[in-house]
Amino acid sequence: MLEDLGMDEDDEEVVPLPNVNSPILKKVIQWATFHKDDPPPPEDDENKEKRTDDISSWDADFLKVDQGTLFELILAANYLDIKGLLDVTCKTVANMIKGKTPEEIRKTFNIKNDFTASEEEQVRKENEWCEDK
Amino acid sequence: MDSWGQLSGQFAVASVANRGEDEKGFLTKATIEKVPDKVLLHIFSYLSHREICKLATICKKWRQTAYDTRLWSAVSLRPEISGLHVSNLESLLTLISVRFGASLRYIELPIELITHHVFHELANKCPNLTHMLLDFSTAMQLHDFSEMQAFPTKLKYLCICLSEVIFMEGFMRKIYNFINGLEILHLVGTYEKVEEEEEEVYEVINVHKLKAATPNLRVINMYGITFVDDSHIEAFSSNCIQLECLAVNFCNKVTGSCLKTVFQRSKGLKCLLMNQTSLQSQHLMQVEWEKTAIQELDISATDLSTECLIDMLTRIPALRYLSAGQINGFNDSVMKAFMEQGNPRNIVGLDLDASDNLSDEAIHRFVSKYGHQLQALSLSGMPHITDQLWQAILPIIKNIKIVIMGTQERLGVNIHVDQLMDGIANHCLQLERLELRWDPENLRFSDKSQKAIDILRVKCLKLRALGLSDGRYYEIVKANFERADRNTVVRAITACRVSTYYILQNYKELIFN
Repeated sequence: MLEDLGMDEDDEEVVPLPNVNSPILKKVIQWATFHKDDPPPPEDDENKEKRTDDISSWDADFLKVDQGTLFELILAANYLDIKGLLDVTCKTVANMIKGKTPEEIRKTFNIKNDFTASEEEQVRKENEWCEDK
Repeated sequence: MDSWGQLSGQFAVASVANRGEDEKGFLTKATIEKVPDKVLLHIFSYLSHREICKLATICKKWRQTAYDTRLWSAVSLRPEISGLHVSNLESLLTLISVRFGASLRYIELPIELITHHVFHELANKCPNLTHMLLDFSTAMQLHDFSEMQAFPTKLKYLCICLSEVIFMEGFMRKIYNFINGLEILHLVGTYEKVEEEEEEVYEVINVHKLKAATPNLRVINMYGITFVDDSHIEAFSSNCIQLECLAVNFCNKVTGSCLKTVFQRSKGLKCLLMNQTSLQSQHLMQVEWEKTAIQELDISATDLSTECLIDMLTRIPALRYLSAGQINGFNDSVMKAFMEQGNPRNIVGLDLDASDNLSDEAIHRFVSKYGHQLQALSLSGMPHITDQLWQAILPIIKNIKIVIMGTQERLGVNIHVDQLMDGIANHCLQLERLELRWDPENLRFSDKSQKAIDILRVKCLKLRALGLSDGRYYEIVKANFERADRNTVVRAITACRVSTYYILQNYKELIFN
């Protein structure tokens, strides 16, 4: 993130963070402090199967928060470019999605269905190709 | 009541505003709808294709994200793998251009979808397709390919699952012109299906024509193909001068008569895997081993004589990996000759599974000298190798990544597994994969075992697979790891096996099916 802003690591300049409020920033710092000695994450191997069952117990505990906080953390991790935190929060959301029906997913995340009846029918048809016989 | 209703209405309006501030000046809470598209894509990338298709029906934004081609770069259309069941060929053809397009790099096709229409679409719409798997194994008959005129031209990796009886020439002759860029070829046979030895064996694919079309092959894997013999290997070596890695595991007609010629032609051949083939000693002794560049060799489960083994191991310049289990002729004199006249100084992987005629003294002597450089070691399948020997060698194998110990045969003695775990935790900090094959009845542990398992779990941080025989001890270890949220580490060995192949240099390219 500092690179993106064109700043040097040694500068004494104040870094503006208008998109991150202080309670969230506190949590981000807490995560980063715990993980400060982590080895750098491996290069994303294109063919590697992406797993969601390898979230450590500390992280799982850390992320036992309400949805609002979880998504604030995702936004903060994205803005501050913290790959490890972004990965683990996204995996957590993926785990919340797995196995649910579309209606259950809409309910869990409070998503409005903005399809008309005919649009919805069309989308269903578009995805018929991959359904069980 | 009315005024409360109005107030809550006002608050509701305030919170719907885009990341606005409420009266106290705090940012309102984020929801999934505030997440940028790039991040939503990242979330979706952790889900299976089947799930992603379901997500398209949630709302417009999710549909758009689900259809993002970047999620569809590696696709399996085999229902038993991905759960995706293509019921309509027409819709698949549309999908190829719209959904997969330029992002598609890897595709798996089951027999129903191996048609010229599909190949035409793939050839025209997917310019980055480099890896393909074609599963003919359940084929009843081949589709008609007489009208096929296009086929992906950038393929580097091709895996063909052969059928027992369907002749492939009708298809193969149409693609020979397109596959000369191929570097990795897997032909998967049906040896697992053969019930009787006398069953007719059909040469379903013409290797002589195939080799002419693929001069750039570096890695060739012919796995469990009942008709493959030395003439086929020779054919490949006559045209594939870049050959680095050749695997013919479970091809029981291979005797090794081609090897002298193969090595003369393929000067770059570094890896040769011939597990459970019918290698004959006189053929292997004809090979000019001194002139070869061979580094990795698997001759396990063959009938090579002691004389032949000594001859080979004293002449090969520098072996990095040796798998020579299940060979009766592999005894102490072979080990001695290897150490004294051969060249084991580059050895990093040693697999001596079920080497009944090797004594523990000989193994101890070898490991004492070379253990510190070993990354993979398997001493499984030998009842006389117990925790006693392992305790002696654990302090030496400090750099070990893969260890396989124990045998499923019932032993007269018991294995003190707590001390073993302790030893491993204290010496083998680089350990990534561990397997203990001993029968659960032979494992002796106490109420201190939780502590030993704790230490192992905490010290061996790279450990990602721990295989144990299903039983009381397995349950204890599994529960211990699960309490620490390391859920995927402990497996029962009926479900998952550890192999020493992980350290082969071409391991990634050798993965198939």
